[in-house]
Amino acid sequence: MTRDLWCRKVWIGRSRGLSTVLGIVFLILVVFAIATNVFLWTLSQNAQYAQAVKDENQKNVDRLSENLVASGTNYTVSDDEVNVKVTVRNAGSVAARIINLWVFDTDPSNQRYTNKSLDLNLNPGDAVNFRGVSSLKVTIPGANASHEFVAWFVTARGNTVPLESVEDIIVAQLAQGIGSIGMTFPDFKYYNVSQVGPSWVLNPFPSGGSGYTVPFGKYIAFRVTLTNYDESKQDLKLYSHSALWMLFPAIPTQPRSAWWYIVNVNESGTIVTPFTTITLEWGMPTQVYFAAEANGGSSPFNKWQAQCQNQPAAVNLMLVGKIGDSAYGQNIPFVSVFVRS
Amino acid sequence: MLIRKVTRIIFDRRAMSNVVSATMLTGVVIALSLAVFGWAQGRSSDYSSEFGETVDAETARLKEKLAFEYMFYDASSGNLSVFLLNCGTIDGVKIKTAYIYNSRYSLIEVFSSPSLYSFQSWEEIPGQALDRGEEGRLVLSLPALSSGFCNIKVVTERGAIFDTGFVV
Repeated sequence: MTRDLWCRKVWIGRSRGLSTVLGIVFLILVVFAIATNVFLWTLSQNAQYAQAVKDENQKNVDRLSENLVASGTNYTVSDDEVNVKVTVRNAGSVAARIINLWVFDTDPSNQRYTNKSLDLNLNPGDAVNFRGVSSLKVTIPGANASHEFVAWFVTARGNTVPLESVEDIIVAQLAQGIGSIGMTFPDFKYYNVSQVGPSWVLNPFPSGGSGYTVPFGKYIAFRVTLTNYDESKQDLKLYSHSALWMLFPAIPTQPRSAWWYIVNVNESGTIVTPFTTITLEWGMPTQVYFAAEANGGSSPFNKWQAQCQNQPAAVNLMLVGKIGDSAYGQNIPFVSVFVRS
Repeated sequence: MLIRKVTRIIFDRRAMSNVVSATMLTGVVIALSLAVFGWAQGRSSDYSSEFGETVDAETARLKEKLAFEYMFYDASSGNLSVFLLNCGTIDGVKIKTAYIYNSRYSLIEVFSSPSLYSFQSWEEIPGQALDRGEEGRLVLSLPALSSGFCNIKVVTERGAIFDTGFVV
């Protein structure tokens, strides 16, 4: 049989198996096409789900990494308005957004709550002080200064950040002062005061020199760091009548003492007039300057008596102002200094 | 003469049987194959569609996240206020059911589709759905609860479950 004949017989002459072959080919094609289709579709859906799981896991990690610290909290109440003073710091590794503040009055007679919407963004390491004019104010009907409050922030990731109160006062801190005021002894400084144009400037500012030995006869100013430890945790306001004054007990005939009235000093060390009330927030160390010869003035004290040279002096703080809404006045003997020649 | 020719063409199948039968069989096979392909394609399409919907639903459920900002039970009125925040990554979170359990985790009350109110008012939230970053309040009227630790479980329409505890 020649090759030509064999081809004729196998491929042209025999057509009986053609439909079977076609059927099998079609079947394979159908199965292959559909299986591929389903496989690829399933694969894409699985990938989509896996991506969603991955995203959610990342969000959970971010949520757990969020670490805001709200410390130094103090509450003051005026009428029904609660002032929340707090310092917030982002101690975590991710940026955070605070969206809400909740304040709850825990007093059994007035268990009320309120919330205040916020929009505060904090990068890692950022800190924000809500104090003074920027303190957070919320209204709780029936709130009273004697009530205890709890508060917390809510972040956009759904975490809550409790506002931690200032540590309780210990006896040793109160012993630093008398009554509501405490003083940081290592931070008692004096400055030379010089006139620059119409202004009086403290120098070297802000470092100053130790206030325990001061020069006689010069224009000087004092800086004391005071902390308000009032039991009712109310702010203490100091008026312009407040002064630092000295007595010289070793002098036989007691001369008129030396005095320096309270002043406002700006960031560059310049005495600012007119005087505006200085607020000592509860538990927050505040630097207070005394320099002026006259109440509310800026010119430094210049009425030294000659007998004051090379003498020790008792230093008193004469404070006049308000504590909360009540008038306040106190004279505190708190340090002694030596006036050199 | 013509009648004989036609009759011959019709009844004499000796020369046509192989070609016709092969053509017919091939045609039938192709037709059947196409039918099977169409049917299988339809079935696989249905399966793919169902699977896609399931994956989409699971993904959406996964993206839901509710945070409980605050819970307050007012013993005088018996109302439990639940302050919620949608901190997830999907809009339209709807509350389907809320369950209240006591400290022994016995079911106290079930609330079906409780109303969502704004934080500061009694206005109902449009569509009763919380979009991303939105806050809402549930007010659930409960029988007098004995003091202790209770739990709340909130189930969303997509099937996500969130729970927390509160003290009465």
